[in-house]
Amino acid sequence: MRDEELVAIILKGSPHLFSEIVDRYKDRIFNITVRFTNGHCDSQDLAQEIFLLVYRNLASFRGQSSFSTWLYRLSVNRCLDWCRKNKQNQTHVLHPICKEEFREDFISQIPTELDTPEKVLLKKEQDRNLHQAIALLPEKYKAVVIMYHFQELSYKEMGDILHLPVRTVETHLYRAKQRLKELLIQQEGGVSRWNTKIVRI
Amino acid sequence: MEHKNSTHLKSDQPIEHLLATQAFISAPDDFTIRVMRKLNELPAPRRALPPVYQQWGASFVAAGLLLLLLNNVPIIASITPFSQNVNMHTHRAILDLDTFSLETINMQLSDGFYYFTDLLTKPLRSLSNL
Repeated sequence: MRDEELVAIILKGSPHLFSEIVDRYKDRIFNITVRFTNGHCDSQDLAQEIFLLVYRNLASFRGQSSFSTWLYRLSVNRCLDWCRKNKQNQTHVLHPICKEEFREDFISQIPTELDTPEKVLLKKEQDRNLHQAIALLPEKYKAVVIMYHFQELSYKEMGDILHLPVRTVETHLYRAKQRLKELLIQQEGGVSRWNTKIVRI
Repeated sequence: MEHKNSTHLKSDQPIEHLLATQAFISAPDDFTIRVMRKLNELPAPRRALPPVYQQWGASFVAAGLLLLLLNNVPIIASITPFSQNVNMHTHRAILDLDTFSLETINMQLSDGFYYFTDLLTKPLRSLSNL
């Protein structure tokens, strides 16, 4: 059953079917909140809050865009609100009040296909740096990086969600990656493997 | 041919690789149960009337009121004597100083206001007679 059909049934008086919507989108929304909050322990509460927000506003879904676009729009806006309110906390990968298990979950889920312990450690360090750098990006860049790389959305979908032309989305993504590179270089204290190579053709 | 502008950045590659090797983080197993537990405390969402229907509804009400007003001819007709009465006596009071007296003006104006009061109360009386 399509999302839009399911929403229509829920609105006709079957609110318990909203669990189906939660099941379909929980991983994607949770993934967004974890990336936006930089692994902050609020990410779980934030994801729950987004679903409550969706439920409360379900009647206002008019079907002008697909349900997923509408849901992502609500989610991204809510996450950006969170970022504005918690600017100070975003540079910490792991918030001090987080439970230890959650910290381990967040890091250990990063794939470690590399062999030696040194390489595994290096990969974890790189990932930490990357998440810190993403957290430091301006909002408009952060949103496109998260949606493109962690949600695998197309430029068109991102444009619909953010109400931006496709060209602007492309530009934001390009600049976001440039900014990420600069931040990673800064974190490593200067010239590193992230440094720009200019290749003559 | 040597192109001065034929340089391009290949620097995205390591960043792209790092971004591509990030894992997808799943929600906890009991996430849906927790969300549904919280949702049960909220009132069920209901489909609001689309704006088009709301506008249609408002238009019907407005049209109904207009018809009620137009069908009640004595109400409209009573407006004319009222305005005529006020105008006529005001002008006469100014132009014809011989007939000017406060008592006359008061009396004739009160006739006008009688029509006005009647005009306002007539719809209410009509409704109560229904």
